[in-house]
Amino acid sequence: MRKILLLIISLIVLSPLYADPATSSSSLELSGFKEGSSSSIENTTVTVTAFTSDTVIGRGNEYVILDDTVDNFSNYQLANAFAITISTTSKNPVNVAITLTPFINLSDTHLTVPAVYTYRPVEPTVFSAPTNASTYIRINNRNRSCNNFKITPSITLKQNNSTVNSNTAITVADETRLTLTQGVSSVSYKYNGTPYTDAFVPTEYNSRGTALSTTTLPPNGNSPTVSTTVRFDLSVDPSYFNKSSQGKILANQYYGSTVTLTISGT
Amino acid sequence: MRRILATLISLVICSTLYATTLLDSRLYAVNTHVDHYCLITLTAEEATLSSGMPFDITESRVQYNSANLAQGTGGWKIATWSIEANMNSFTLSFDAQPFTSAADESSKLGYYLIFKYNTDDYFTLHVPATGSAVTSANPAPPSAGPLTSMHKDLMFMFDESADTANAPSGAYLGSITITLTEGI
Repeated sequence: MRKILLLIISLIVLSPLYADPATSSSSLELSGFKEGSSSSIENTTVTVTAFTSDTVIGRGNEYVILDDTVDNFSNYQLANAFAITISTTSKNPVNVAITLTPFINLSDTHLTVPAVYTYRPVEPTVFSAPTNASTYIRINNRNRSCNNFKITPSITLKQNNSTVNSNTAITVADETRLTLTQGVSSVSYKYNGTPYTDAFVPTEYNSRGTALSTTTLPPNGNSPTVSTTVRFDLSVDPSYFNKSSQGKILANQYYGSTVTLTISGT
Repeated sequence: MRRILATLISLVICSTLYATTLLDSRLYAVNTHVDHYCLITLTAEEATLSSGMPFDITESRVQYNSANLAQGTGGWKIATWSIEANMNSFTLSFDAQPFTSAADESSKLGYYLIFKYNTDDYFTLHVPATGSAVTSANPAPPSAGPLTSMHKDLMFMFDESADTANAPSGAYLGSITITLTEGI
């Protein structure tokens, strides 16, 4: 009886083994690469533009007073200080490293004033071609305090030592910290070594020292030309004024700050 | 007939199994051989100057060559494959995706796989840039018998539409899955 029972059990167990066809699968990940070449950033142009804002004040070469005795110049913003527009026919992603320096007194380069830059990509961006852009701000009429820190500077933007625009009036608004514009996509960068890919995170560069940012920009795909604009705002770092012994900006002096873009293909 | 034979074998074994533990282990050994089994393994080739992955997509040996393709020669060795089975016939099913730029997913490159087997036999699989390829093949085992062991190279070659010279730089990825099934 036991043997019969075992026979029945073994039949039940063995039958499915013959009913199902045997199968086996194996997968393989294909991987290849294409080296980047100099051609990946060829056929690109970079234009640096100073904005003329509807909110500007001042006329011609007049400059608003800045009182260097006031130590509470927090959060003053130079909205739309300048913009960089890049056009390219590159089909490849382009890496952009941005280096920003503090404001440096052009008469005495030992005098520096920390600055904060924020940039707002106007649209998905492709950068290309190394270039330098410099902005110079003149501050005069000392010994006058103001809460809104408005200046009408003489702005000179240069690209490859050629003046792009000058004598552009700019307003520095109080308590303004701009962040990246919503709707921007495919922008990544690093701040203090930490990579970000969310375009809605404020992009701010504090130039107490040299601030760095690396932005990987999307490929052009098959479009013949891609053009994009990134706007830069800048302001004096408010923390600079928290220390009254240091919170001085010499009036009637030119201060310069340099933005360097280093472009590389992938 | 096979079921009857298997049943008889298991009857003999199972009836004696009951007595000792030693015979219990023999039961498993016998059943392993009675069952149909198969195993396919794809092993990626490590990158060298002449084979393996990742490879440079501009390398001349991965470019389309109609003459080589027709003869099942040329291409770039990306992997080896092996089959262990105790079946007299089987089917290989392929599911492969086009080579896609990691930086720009709209940039896809089509390719051929040259699946070599036996001594001079081969068959090719075309994976177009426009989509995945799902197909099957029935390579004849080298010999009829209870055990088949096959192993050889899997070669890669871009198809005639792949414009690797103007393709974006960066990494390219794809996937290949091969399923081995009993019967035709």
